[in-house]
Amino acid sequence: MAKTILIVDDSATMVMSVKNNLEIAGFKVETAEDGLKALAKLKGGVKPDLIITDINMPHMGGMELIKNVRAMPGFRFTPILTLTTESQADKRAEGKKLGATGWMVKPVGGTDLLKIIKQVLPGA
Amino acid sequence: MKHLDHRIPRSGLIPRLVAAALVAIAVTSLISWFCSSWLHTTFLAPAGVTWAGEITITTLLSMLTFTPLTLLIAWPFTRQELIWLRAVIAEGDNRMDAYERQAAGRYGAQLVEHDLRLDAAIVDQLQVVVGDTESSAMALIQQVRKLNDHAAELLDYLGSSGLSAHDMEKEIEGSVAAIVQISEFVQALPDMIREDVKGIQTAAIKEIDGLAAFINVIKEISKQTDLLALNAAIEAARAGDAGRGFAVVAGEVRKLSERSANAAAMIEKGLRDAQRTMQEGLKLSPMDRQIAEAGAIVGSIRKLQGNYDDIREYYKTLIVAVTEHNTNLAAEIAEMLGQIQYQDVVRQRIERVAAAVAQRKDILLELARRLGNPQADLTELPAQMLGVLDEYLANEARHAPAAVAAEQAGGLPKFQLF
Repeated sequence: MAKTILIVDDSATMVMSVKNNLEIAGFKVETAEDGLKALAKLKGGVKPDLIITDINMPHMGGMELIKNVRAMPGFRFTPILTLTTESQADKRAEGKKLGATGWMVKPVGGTDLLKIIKQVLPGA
Repeated sequence: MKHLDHRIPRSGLIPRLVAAALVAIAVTSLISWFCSSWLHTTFLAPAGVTWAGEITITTLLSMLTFTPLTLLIAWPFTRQELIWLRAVIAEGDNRMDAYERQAAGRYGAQLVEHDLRLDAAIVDQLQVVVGDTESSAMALIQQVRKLNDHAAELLDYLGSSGLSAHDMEKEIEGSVAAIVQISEFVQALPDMIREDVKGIQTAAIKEIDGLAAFINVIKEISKQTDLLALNAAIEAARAGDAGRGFAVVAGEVRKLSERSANAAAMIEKGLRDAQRTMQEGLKLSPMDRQIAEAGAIVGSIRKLQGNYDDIREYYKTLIVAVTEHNTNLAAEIAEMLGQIQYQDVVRQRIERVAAAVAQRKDILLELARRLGNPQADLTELPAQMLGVLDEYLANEARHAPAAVAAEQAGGLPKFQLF
């Protein structure tokens, strides 16, 4: 059965780029424009195997989303990767502290993205 | 602010100036009178100066003495006017400064206003560029996705074609096997039939031979009957009239004997014909030709099977090649989709520029406001502008291009798993 990945980004270009890349690779993809909408999806029953989120977004950013997701039952061990233009060590440290699984700096080539996903989703 | 009366405060300035000049001339003449002989004897004569040179030197000295003396003597006569004149000049300077400051402020404010309009136009245009690139990127993604779908369809089509060919080949293989089995059976069948026919023919010939023996018995009986009929006829003739009726019976018996002999001959001929037909039938069978044809058909079918093997290998090679190309294509498409993310990177960079321009706008507006007031303090604005610059540069350093450069320089990796 295809693994489900939730993409959270306010950029339509980013969402479509990553979505198509993952769908071609055989994943099922859900999308959300910001942290609030992503949380609504999770509360609505979407159970992704992996979450890929931007950091700087309107309404609710990636850091707050990670914090909220980790507080939800059933999502404590769901891998969360950030995909952002932010690259500094203090931001990475903050993400790690909140429970992010990994940090990716935009732009990420399609092949590299799939390699990283295979590392956090063995068997995918 | 106190303004001066621009009218000249006292009349009679020119007569007073003329009077001052006359007093100065008089004083100068007296000084020249008393000093000319002293100059002549002390300096000019010992130096050998000519009369013309002496006149020139004394005139110059008189003029140099006359001018400051005139000014000095004129001071008490024109003191009030001079004070007034100095005040007027000072006020003019102040007015000029104020005017210049106001003009500079006005022009500065206009300049800031135009600059802000230019900034707004640039930011608007950048937003249009962001929208255009986003639309183009989305269209590109859709095209790439279609390309991938077409490639996948092609692969599926080739896969299903290969599968169909494989199925067809399996069916043909099954049919060929059945045909080969039938062919082998057909090939074996004539031998079995031939053996069976031969047995039947042998038995029939044997039976015919047995029947031929019965024909001989019939012939012998016919011959004996004929002899008996002949002896009966002889005895009837000897008996005379008494044997006349017996002679008739003897004649009938003889006729019966002839008919029996004819029937035996006809049966013998029929049996010999049947025996010959059986023996000839053993020599040649029309099935031999059909068997040869069946063998040729089996050969053709086996050749066809070989052709299908070739086709299957061709399909396998084709599918492997297309699959490899498709895999490469998928990888290229994935990379292309990754590269499209640069649109978002550029968008964010433009947004950071727009944010810095907005901060600059606030400072420039404050500058324009203060330029309208000559007394306003502008000293803090450069520091504020420098703060905007520092913040912008620091913000840029946190983002993607700097990260890539940092990774290349051995810093933080672009991808990091915690």
